[in-house]
Amino acid sequence: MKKVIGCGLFLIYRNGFKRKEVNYSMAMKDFIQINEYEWEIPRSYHPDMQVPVRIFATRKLLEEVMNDRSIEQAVNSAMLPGLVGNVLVMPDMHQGYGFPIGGVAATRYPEGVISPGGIGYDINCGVRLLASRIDYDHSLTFLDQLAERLYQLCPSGVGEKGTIHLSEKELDQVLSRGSRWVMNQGMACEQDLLRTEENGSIEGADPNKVSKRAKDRGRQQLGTLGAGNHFLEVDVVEQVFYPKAAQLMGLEEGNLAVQIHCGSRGLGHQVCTDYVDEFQVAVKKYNIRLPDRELVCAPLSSPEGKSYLAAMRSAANYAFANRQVLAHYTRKAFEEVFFKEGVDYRLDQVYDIAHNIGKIETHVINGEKMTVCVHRKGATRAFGPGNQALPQEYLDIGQPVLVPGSMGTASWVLVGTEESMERSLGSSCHGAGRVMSRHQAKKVVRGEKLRNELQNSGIRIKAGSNSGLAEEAPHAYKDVDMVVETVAGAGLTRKVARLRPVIVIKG
Amino acid sequence: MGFHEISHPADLELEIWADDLVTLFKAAAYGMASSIALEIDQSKKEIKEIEIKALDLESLLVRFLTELLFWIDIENQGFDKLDILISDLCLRGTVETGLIVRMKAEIKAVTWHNLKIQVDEKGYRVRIVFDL
Repeated sequence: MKKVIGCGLFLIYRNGFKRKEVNYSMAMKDFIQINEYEWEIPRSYHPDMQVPVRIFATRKLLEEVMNDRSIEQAVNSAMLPGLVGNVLVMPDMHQGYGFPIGGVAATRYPEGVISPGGIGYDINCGVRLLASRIDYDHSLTFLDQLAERLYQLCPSGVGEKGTIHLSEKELDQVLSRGSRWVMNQGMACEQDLLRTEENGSIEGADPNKVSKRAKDRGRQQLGTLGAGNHFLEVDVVEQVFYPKAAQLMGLEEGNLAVQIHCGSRGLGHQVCTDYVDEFQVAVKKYNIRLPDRELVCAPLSSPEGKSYLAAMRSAANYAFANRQVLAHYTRKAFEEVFFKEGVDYRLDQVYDIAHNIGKIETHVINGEKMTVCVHRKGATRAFGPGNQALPQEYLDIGQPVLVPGSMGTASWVLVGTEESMERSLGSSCHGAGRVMSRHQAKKVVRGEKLRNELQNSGIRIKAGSNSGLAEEAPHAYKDVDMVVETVAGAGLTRKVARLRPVIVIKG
Repeated sequence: MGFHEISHPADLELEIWADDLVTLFKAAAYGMASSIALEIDQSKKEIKEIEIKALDLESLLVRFLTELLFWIDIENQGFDKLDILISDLCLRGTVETGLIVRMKAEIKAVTWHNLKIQVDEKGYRVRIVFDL
């Protein structure tokens, strides 16, 4: 049906996009408590919900997020056609757009749909962890120099371009091959790839499905961190909880480690922008009704769905390559600083994971083994022991799950469990999760004061601006320890090690 | 015409209002620029033509703002004065642009989250969430 609203010179056409108004007034009484760490919003909450919503949170964390719209967004997400199991929400959840951050949803493959908004604009935003053999106490006199060199070699901040300028052909190779292309340039070793989700080179990528505009945005940004919450951090392994796993990962108490958090930069943002736009038409073509236009989707088997999947995988490969290039320059900085001191400067990859991605995986859901498209938006894959997707050396312990905390606070290394496979589509949390807007954070935190406080506590900060620093203040985030206690308490992960920052490089 | 920021835990949400549609679009662009403290070199400005088409007004708004973000990201060109017209779901006009001398944040994308241009006797109103 075509509705025309006359307004002076303009005509507003709303031809066929059927918006369902949703009235939410959610309270704790709407949740069914499954156990101390798990809550459910049943399908009966709203007639358009296709599946229930399961939330992993303590009562305190759940009550806190009632202040924002993350639960409402989870309910909206549960209205996508072709969903199976539950829409899951992790304890680091917060309000996003379309899906909540911390959301996981699976659609049956290939009959179900894929939603770019369920993956996010920063496709394959993720975290890489590198382990060193360098003792923190012995490194103290070199950390200022190391911070300076990392800041010089790993471009960060608004509008920063990288030092690698890709030709059209080279960019297509990055999109097709990801970290493998970087290895061919001499900036990665085989172990790096083996210890990266999808070996850093996800199959099914097709650069022809990526627009010229997206490629233009990506050509000069390979090897850059970007701005916002992206960072490069040198940590010290403060405490080990699971010695066998820590040993296999090369994490030793008192030694330095490095985390790199970034994604697919402008290229990924543009891929998502292009397809969210294109899918505005696709939902009409396939008669899909949704409560929010950011949730637009297309059947995985449709030309539109296939194109997006191939483009999204291309952007994911770009992100793997981006973190690999940054790892190369991080190694260069370590070598320059520590080699002359006779210190073993090597950095071994622990793992690299995506936390904004759509993956075709096989899971047992409601007792049935099925192939699904798992959307993870601000959620990390957390496969348990024995899964064939894991590197050989991690088969006994499960997949490393990397959970960076807010700036200046702890980060965690966890491993996935068999229970995560059964209860959360092999997924876990991805970070601390914001609780305060950037605007509010800048009101209550002075960047310069924060910089001094962090430096006085032994953290060397290299950041583009004090206001950017204030936006990322620890006060703006949940307590990462509480988030980790929740996923561990729920049985989705097991704690391996806690990391404490000593150098933070930010945009 | 005006805009203000609405509290959002992670991204940027602006509420924008204006008496007419063209002014609403301009206010959205100025709100976006103001939120990232976009400053351009005033001594070397250029006039750039813009033409955007879409199937509905919300699409037109997203595409318009996305185009301006693309200039920022790829050409390092910020914008200043907008001289635009909207007719039959087509936006046409000129934009004064200049090299960016300062910008304090990076907007990844203009989202469609709950995007709806409202029209009533007071004029036009819209809320836009930008991914930061």
